[in-house]
Amino acid sequence: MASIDLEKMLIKIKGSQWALADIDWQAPGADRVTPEQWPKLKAFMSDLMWIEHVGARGFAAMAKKAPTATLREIYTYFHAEEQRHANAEMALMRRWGMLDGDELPEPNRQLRLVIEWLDRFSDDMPLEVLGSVIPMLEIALDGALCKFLLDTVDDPVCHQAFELINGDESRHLGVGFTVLEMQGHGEAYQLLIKAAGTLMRPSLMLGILSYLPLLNRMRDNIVEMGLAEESLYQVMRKFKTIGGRTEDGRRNPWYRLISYHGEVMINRDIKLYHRPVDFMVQLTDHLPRQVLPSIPSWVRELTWNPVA
Amino acid sequence: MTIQKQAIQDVVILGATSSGLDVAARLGEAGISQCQIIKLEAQSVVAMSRDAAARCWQLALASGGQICARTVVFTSSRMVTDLVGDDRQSDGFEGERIDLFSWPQGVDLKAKKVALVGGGIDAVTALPSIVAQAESVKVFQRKPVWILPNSAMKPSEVRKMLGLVPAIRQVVSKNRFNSDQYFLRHQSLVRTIAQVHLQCQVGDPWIRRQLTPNRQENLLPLVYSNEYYPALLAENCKLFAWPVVSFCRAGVHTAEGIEHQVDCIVDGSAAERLRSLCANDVASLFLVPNANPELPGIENVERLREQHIDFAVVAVREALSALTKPVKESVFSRAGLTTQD
Repeated sequence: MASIDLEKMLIKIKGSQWALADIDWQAPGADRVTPEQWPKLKAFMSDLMWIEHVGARGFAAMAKKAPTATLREIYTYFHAEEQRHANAEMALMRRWGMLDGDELPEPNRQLRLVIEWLDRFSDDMPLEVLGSVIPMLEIALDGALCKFLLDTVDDPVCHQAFELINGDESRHLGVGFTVLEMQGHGEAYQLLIKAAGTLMRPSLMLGILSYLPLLNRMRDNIVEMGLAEESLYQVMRKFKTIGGRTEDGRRNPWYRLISYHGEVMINRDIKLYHRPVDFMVQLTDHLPRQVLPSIPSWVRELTWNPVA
Repeated sequence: MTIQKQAIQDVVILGATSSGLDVAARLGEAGISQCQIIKLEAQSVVAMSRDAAARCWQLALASGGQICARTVVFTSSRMVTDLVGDDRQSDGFEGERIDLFSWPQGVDLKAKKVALVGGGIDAVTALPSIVAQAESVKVFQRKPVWILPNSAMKPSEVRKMLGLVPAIRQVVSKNRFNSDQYFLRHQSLVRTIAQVHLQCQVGDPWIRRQLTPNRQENLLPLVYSNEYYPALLAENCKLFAWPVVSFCRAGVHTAEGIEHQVDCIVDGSAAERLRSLCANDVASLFLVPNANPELPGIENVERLREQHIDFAVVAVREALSALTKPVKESVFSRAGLTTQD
């Protein structure tokens, strides 16, 4: 499959913007969420919304790093679109009575650490790091989480919102994989040395330390909700197939690293990885509130209200 | 249509405004008399294209005539939509709408909710007084610009003061000294000053990040303001960096999916597009804002105008000598400025 034309993509992105006001959040059907679903769904939606928001911040960092003006503008739009998804998911939560007043859903502690890391270090990260992690998260969101949500929740408004969200996400994935391939262009040993150098950065090490427990925590959360682990396998395979469809893509060391890590993450038999990471989840769960970093101001721009 | 051979003008000034006349007078003093002023009220320019072979701009007039010019100075944004186009989707806004570059007479923003969309450095100069008048202001920024702290002196006063020193009096009196030119040769210095300025005035790291331009952005034209950041941080003002999708019926629809409802939109996009047009061709297109007394922040605009006239006069001279003598290094190439995006 050939890479997409980014210029055309930008025009397409500009032409397919939607607003929260396009959806009637008061339409009937909110009662189709069953009382058994409700508490788990609340936790799930809150995680989903925060992941979208974290993705938004990632795109903001990429917009600063992008090599061309077109890609910069695309990432600026993607930043706003992820924010829109988080807003729409908050509007859904409000519709289902999961928000008290204007309060934001509480992010879990692993998310708090990732937010802090993004705020502090993401702007200094080379593009290829975020450029390979984000397609992975997107594909997990798109292929497993959203699909699962639509299979279990019967509310028509939820379906309407996620149809729009998935339309955006498919464009994000298209650009994501194109950039992944762009960054695999060159001599393999040069790419490898550069990647090894980046991996030695203390700031990236801290990022990995906050990223690993988050993933394990998310995996536990969604499996607890009833998502089949098989669908996670499918997602990892999909990432591997699409990312590795061209030689450039396969040469990208970050693609190799992320897809290898994906395999390890979904295989619970690899105790050497899962024991320490699960321990880190427990450890971060017991972090006292006082030592958690304060929430940066960009988080407060989230809103469920279609008009401001 | 017959192509008639016609003389190439050195300078064409679009708009017989006070700025246009000032530029013409200053160019005359500098010895450039081949200069034509087009009154946009009488004849309008319908198209403009670059003739690479003749190294000039071709301007087509509504009356059917054509003008050739080596350099063009804009003093009005009236023709910009025809030239650069408008990429905004639908526009169904029902409230009041004001073009930032041609501020109409008798506008009252008191007790109104205002959206200031785009505008670049023109928005920087206008914002403080809009914030002082309006009930609430939402600033939709497209691209941030570097803002230098404002010293109390105007460029002409700086020249006058430097003229007191005998050793540099001659240089200054020949109108060679221009602070913009000096800064162009020391771009990292300008960025550092602007960054420190931003750091001192804005405390929140996220807002500061939104106000920091990309390194690739052009520095020109420089803008000086001490009042912009405090106005932006005022109680009744809020900054948004989301891309604007469209003007909807009740306000501004931005890409994060929210409809921002306002009574009045101050639209700076025409001015901004005109500026980016000029920034893409720093060697032959110039923009001088107009001093309309109705414009908010008139003191700042007056200062900016003087700075622009100074710059335009010096740059037109440089450009003309570069365009007529092919192998001459101009101030722009020395400063490392390119004419691409």
